[in-house]
Amino acid sequence: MSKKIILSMMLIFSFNLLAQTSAPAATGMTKTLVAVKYFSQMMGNVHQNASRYSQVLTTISCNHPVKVYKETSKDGKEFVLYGDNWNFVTVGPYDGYIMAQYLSDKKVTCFEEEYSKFFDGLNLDINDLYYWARLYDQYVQDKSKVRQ
Amino acid sequence: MKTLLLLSFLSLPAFCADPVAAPAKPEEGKDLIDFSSIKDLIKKDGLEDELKKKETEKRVLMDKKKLQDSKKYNVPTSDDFWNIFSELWLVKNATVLKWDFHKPEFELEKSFITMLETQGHYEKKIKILLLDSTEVIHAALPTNDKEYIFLLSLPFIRTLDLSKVEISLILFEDFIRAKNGYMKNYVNSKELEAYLGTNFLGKPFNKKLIDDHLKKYNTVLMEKGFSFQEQFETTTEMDKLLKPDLKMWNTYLTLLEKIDNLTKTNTLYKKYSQIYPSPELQLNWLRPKPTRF
Repeated sequence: MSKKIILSMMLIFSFNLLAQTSAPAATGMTKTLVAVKYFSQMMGNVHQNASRYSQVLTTISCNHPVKVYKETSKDGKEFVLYGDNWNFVTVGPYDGYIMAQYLSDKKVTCFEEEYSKFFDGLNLDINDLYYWARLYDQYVQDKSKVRQ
Repeated sequence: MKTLLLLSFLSLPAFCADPVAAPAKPEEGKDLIDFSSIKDLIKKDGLEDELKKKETEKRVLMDKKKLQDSKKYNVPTSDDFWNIFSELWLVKNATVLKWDFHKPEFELEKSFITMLETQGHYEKKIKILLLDSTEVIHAALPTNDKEYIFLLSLPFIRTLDLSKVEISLILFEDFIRAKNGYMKNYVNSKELEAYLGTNFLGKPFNKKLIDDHLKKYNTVLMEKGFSFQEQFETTTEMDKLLKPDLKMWNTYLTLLEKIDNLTKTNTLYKKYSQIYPSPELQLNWLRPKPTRF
């Protein structure tokens, strides 16, 4: 089964879930589109809240476009980053949160696009794709730099 | 005027069908049609060149499409392969390793990055994955040299009540092992090496090769472990790198003592000395040798 079919199945399954959850955007907040960004990892999850353990709304794959919003409260405070590392995004019908470090301004080179037949050959099932997305929820990451 | 024009038009066939003129012989017809002059005419209007151009464009387009289609069958190069392959192993062994669980935010990455930067390792991306099991105590999986994936058992660090500095030292030891390519060398084979970077268009995908090499991860991390020679090299390198900061060197020594004690007293961690032979030996290699005088 191709990855696209599996992903669309995951998307359909999560529809029920969406029906049960409340709107992620806080009431009384206005949201404004900041940018369209691209998911830069192999697989990832859009969460209901700004937490890696929060309910998963949908799963996306590399280079999937997401709309990043900023929220403005009634008293004029603007929120782009939540919990210092999460962006409020819209992906298809879902409003949720995604780790900011996994979003890129431009399209990236994706393994599954560059080596598409090799990736297909790995024969990943829905379970594998679920865990691959969870892997990027569970990693703690950083990068060493030359500091002045 | 119109009538005049009509009359002249009607009389034109009469001129053409002149009964006096002899019917044209076929041989003479050949002389009348000058093919070479037509050819020259075609050449002059550039139609042939246009055709050639179109054909070349079509060929280039076809070649490009063929190349693009063929590229889809590329096997990743070594640089692209190992990170994904290690993640594939993590995905396939998620239930055994138990990494998908709710864990506290230790901010281990920050203390480890500080250690890497202190040791002069810049532009290294690190991914740390905590495990809720003791199947693998700690390890760095094979990757390229820009990115490192570390595994660390949460029960292990809780049992030993390790500080962030001690955890960073364990990760740094694994970093050295990964940098020296010990695990990658074991997992890799001539067959895999030859397969990477090739193209399998027209051939079946070698799934068996991938599966067989995935199994090697389990062998190294859960059964066979690292060799004495590799452990000796790692320990002496740690010794050399930490010596300038005696406080850090002492913390490393204390850490090894803690691990040594744990592996000798707790049956859950008995396998540790088999995978990393052995904390006791490491201590012997590290401790200054007594002088004769």
